[in-house]
Amino acid sequence: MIMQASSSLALREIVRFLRQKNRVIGALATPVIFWFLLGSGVGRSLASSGIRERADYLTYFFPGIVLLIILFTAIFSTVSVIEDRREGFLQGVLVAPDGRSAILFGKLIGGTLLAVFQALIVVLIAPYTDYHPDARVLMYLVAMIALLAVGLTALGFLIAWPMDSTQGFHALINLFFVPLWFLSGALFPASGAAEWIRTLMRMNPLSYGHEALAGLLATRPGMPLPLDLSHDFSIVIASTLLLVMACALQVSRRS
Amino acid sequence: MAESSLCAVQADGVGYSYGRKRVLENIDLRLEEGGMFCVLGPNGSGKTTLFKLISTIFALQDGEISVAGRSLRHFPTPVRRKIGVLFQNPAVDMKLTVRENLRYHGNLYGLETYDLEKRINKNLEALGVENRGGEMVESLSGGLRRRVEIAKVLLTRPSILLMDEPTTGLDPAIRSELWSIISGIRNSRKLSVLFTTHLLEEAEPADEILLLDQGHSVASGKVSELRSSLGKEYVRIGTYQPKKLAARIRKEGEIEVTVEPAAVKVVPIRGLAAPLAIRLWREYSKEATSVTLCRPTLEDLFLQKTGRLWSSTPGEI
Repeated sequence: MIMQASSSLALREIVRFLRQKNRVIGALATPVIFWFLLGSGVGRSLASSGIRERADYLTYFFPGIVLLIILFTAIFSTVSVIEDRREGFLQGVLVAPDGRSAILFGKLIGGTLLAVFQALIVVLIAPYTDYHPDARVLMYLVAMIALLAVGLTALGFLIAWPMDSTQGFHALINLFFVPLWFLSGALFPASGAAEWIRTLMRMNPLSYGHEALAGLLATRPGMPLPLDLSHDFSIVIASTLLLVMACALQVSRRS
Repeated sequence: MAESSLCAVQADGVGYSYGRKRVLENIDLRLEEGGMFCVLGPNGSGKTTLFKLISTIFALQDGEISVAGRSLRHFPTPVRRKIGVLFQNPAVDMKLTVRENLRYHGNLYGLETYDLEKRINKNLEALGVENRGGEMVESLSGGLRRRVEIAKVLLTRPSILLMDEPTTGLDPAIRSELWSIISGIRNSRKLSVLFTTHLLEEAEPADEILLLDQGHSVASGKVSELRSSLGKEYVRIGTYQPKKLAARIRKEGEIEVTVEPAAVKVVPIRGLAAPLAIRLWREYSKEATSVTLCRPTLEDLFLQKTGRLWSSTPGEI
């Protein structure tokens, strides 16, 4: 019964997403525009100072943009927890026999499916950035994107669950998600950063997600998989499990 | 708690606090199977908190509640299969169609697709919204949304219907229509109904009421018995100068006179209220805007128990 309830609520997330055209456009176009403008602008600035080619930076920045899409989707899909509470839908779910578990897994499955779908659309333009993932790499990419999506949706859910204001949620998102992304290696590599920044980056589970995405995208057909892949996967799996368990604990507590 | 299997809902010594603020204290209630029970109270009396405890949204702090013979403290999940809950704010998704809302609700309770579709058709028809199935809920009026919600709640065939201020935000005509729908459903499905309200007239059809004030039970029992406990019929004289008129009427003797906002209440100590009403109308027709022969109401009960008028109560909890 819990699977039926969760998948039904996950489907609801997707239906609601597709019915809100602005959300579809915003979720897809924002990171791509961000990638192109920031990648081109920063790349050219760096190139003029003789540090890096513009095209190189666009390529470097690409895995970070895939990560940003997952992050945006997680934010938008979990803000609906607050909307559901405010509009009254959530209380109807909470009085159902397995309503609390169903709403958690429904949001996680729905958010993950939306994130994987959107991230894969962007991965399709990878060949234009000097990345050429083959079927084997794509399989690992989907797995890592899905794991990151579950983890980030769980983090969003954890923040959104006790809140009743979307403004408050966005304020906390800026506090949590944006620094997580900045310190994941999406914008700059750890190698050139200050020691304290490198320490923070090593402590950030998203760094390992980014490292896996970048390593996989850079794997050319026929080449062996990146050496650190299993290490990256282990850390992302462990962090995701911890976050899901924290969510389960939180929803099981009644006032 | 020994008799809990004989009644639909039973609460014993229920208390609840939000942090240090105590909002419910030692509340008892008993809804018989097939009965209709009203939790009546002004805004801020604690009825929504009590409702959230009975509907399993809040966890019990003090006391015990059993629903359909099961303790809420130990078996909240089986209890949820027995109850249908109608909240003050409609628990429907505005961005989905009527039919989609019902489908999601049925899936939440694990109903099989074929059975679910049959139940959806039947309930939409029973509630008179069979032609609205494909419409977005946000495009419906408040009254129709309520009907959709009732159709949704009844999908799982609950034996107990819990409603928190079900007519909030509806105009009087829709309100009365909604009550006749609920009454019809109650009779046809043999439902036990527990509802909260702050509207005195909505409590009248209930078999029993619990009157709450500032988190405390001030009276409970059958409406007719509570009324008769208040004593005789009386006369209410509407006037623009209640104090002045009350002073004059007091000189009549053998009556009790109380000043109310824009009215004077006159209770005969001996004899009947009807001849008194005629006499008062003859003598004070110039000062009076109306003379009404009244039976004691729930408002009088509240005034007697709390010393305050129903309309002078504080904000919602």
